[in-house]
Amino acid sequence: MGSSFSFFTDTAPVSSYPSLGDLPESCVASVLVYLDPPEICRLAILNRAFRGASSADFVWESKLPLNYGSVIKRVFDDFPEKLCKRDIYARLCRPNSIDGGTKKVWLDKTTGVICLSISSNGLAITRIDDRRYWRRITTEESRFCSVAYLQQIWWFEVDGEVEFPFPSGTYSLFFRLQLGRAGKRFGRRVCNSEHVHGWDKKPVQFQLSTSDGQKAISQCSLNDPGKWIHHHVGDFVVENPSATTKIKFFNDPD
Amino acid sequence: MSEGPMAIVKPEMKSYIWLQTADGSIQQVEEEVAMFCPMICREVLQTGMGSSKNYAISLPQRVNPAILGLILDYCRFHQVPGRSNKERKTFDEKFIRLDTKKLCELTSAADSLQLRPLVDLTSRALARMIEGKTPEEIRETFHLPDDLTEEEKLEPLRNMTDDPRIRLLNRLYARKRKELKDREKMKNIEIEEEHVDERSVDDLLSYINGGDGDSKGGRANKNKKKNRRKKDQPRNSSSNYENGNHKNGEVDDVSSPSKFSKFQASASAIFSPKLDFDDGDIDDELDPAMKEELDREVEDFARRLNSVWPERMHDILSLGQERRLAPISMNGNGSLQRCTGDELADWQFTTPLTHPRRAK
Repeated sequence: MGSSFSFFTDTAPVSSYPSLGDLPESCVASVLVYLDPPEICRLAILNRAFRGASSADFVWESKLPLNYGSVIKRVFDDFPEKLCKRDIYARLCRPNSIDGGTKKVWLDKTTGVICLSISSNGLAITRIDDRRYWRRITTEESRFCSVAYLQQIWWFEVDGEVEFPFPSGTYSLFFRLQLGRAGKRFGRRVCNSEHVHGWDKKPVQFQLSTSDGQKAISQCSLNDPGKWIHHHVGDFVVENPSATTKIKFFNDPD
Repeated sequence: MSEGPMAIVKPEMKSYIWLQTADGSIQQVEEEVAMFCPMICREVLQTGMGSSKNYAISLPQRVNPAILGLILDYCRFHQVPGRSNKERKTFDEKFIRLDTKKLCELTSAADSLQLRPLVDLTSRALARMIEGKTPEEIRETFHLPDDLTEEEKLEPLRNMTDDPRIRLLNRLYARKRKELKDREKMKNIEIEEEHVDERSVDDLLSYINGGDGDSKGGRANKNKKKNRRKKDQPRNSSSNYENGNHKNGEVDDVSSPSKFSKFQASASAIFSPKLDFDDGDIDDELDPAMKEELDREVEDFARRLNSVWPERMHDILSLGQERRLAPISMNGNGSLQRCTGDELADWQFTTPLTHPRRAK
C-alpha cells in the first residue's frame, strides 16, 4: 500500500501519533528511573500516566540502596511488611534513631545515599562525666538536642565507633566542632568565645580506621570560633555491602 | 518456486523476515537485524511466522513504518558483534538526536517490541529533556493533557508508616478540598442570588400592596432572619460536604445546587480559616481549642512547604478566581523559612501545595 507514510505528513492531526501523553505507564516509568526522587514526586501531578508511573515499584527500587534489606534490619526493630518501595524509601529518608538514640541514620532524599550522625552521647570522651571539665548542654543547634561542652582540660580524646551495613561507595567522615559557646540573646544567636584559648597551640588530630584495614589521618588547627565546622577526617571505601563495616575514629587535640 | 508457508531457504541467500505494520504495509528485513528485537524473535521461534510475505509478522500498533525504519537502523548497527563500546556509544548519541515527538514514538515502539536497550536509551534522553522543567513547560513541550481533576490532585495520601508529616499534609489537603468546594458553592450561590433578590422584591411589593406601615419593619425582619441563617448554614453544609467527600477517590458532584437558597454572600461566614469542622473522619470529637491548634499547625506546615517550593505558587491550587468576596485569609505572609537539615520529608509524593491565595 502506497499510503503507508500518509500519517507522517505535517498535516497529521495531533492525536494520530503517540506523544508522551500516550505513553503507557511502563514507558513513563522507564523515563522516571532516570530522574531523581524529588523530581519524580514533582512530576506526579502532571497527569494520570505520570501519577501512576511515579508510584511504580521498579522506579523506587532503583533508588533504594542495593542492600536496603540489611539496612532496614539494622535500623528498625519492626518494619511494616507490605510497604510499597516508595514508602520504604520515604521511611528511610527520615532520620531514624539507632543504638539507643545515640545515632541517627537516614537516606539523602535526592541521591539515596546513607548518612549517619553520631551524637556526643555516642562518643567516648575523656572525662566526660567530670563536671569540672565537661558539661552537656541542651541546644537547638544539634539534631540530637544536646552537645558536650568543654570547659577546660589539658588534653582529651574523643573516640567513636560504629558498625553499619553501609552500601558500597565512598564515605567521608567529619567531626562537627565549634569553638565558643552559642546562645541566644534577644532572639539572635550569639557566640561567646571569651573562654576560648589554647586551641592554637597545637593542631588537632583526627584519625579514622575501618575493620578492613583502611586508615586516614588528618590534622587541623581550630581557629575559627563561633561557628560549627565540619572537620574532614578522611574517607573510606565500602566495597562489600553485605559485610558490616566498623569504623573507629578519634579526635585527639593534645 | 511455490510459495508455501515455509519458503525454502537457500544457503547462499540471505534470510529475510517479513514484517507488517499496523497500516498494512509489509517490509522484508534481514533476519539477523529483525531477530535483534525480542518480540520478533519470539514470534519467529514460537509461531514460525515471518518467513514469507503472506505470513508476515504483525507488529504492534505502536510501530509505524517510519519508526520501524529507525528501529531497524538501530538493530542493524548493534547486532554486529564486533563493535567496540565506544563505537556503540557514539552511534547511540547520534541516534537519539531526534525531536521530542520522534523520541516518544520511538520509546513507545521500542517498548512494544521489548527492545530494552533502546527503551533505556530513549528514556534517558527524555528524562534529560524533562529534568528541571516546570510542569507547565513539560506539558507544553510534550503536549500532555492535564487530565487530573483538582480533587484528584488533592486526594489524601495513604499513610502506611504513620508519618506525622503525611498526616498534616492530608489535613491540609482536606482543607484545600473544602475550599475548592466552597468556591464552587459560591459560584452556585451567585446564580441563585437573583432568586433571593426577586423574592425580596416580591415580598416588598406584597407588603406595599398589603399593609402599608409595616413595609420597612418587615424588610428589616427578613434581613435579620437571613443573617442568622447565614451563620448557621455554612457549618451544616460544610459538614455535609465533608462527610460526602471522604470516600476514597470519589469525586463529589460539586456542581449540584446547594442548600443555600436564601444565602447572602458573606465572606466571613464561609471563608473563616478557623473551620470548626475539619477532617470529619480523621479527628472526630476534637474540642475547638484542639482544632484551632491543629489548624495552626497545618497552616504552619503549609507555609513551610510553600517556602520550599516558591515556584509552586501558580500551581494547581491557584484556582485564582476573581472573587469579589474576601479571599481565604490564611497566614498570608509568604516569608521564607529557614529549613533545617531535618526537613527531610517536606516534599511529599504527590501534590506540592501552593501558597494560599493572598488578598487581592
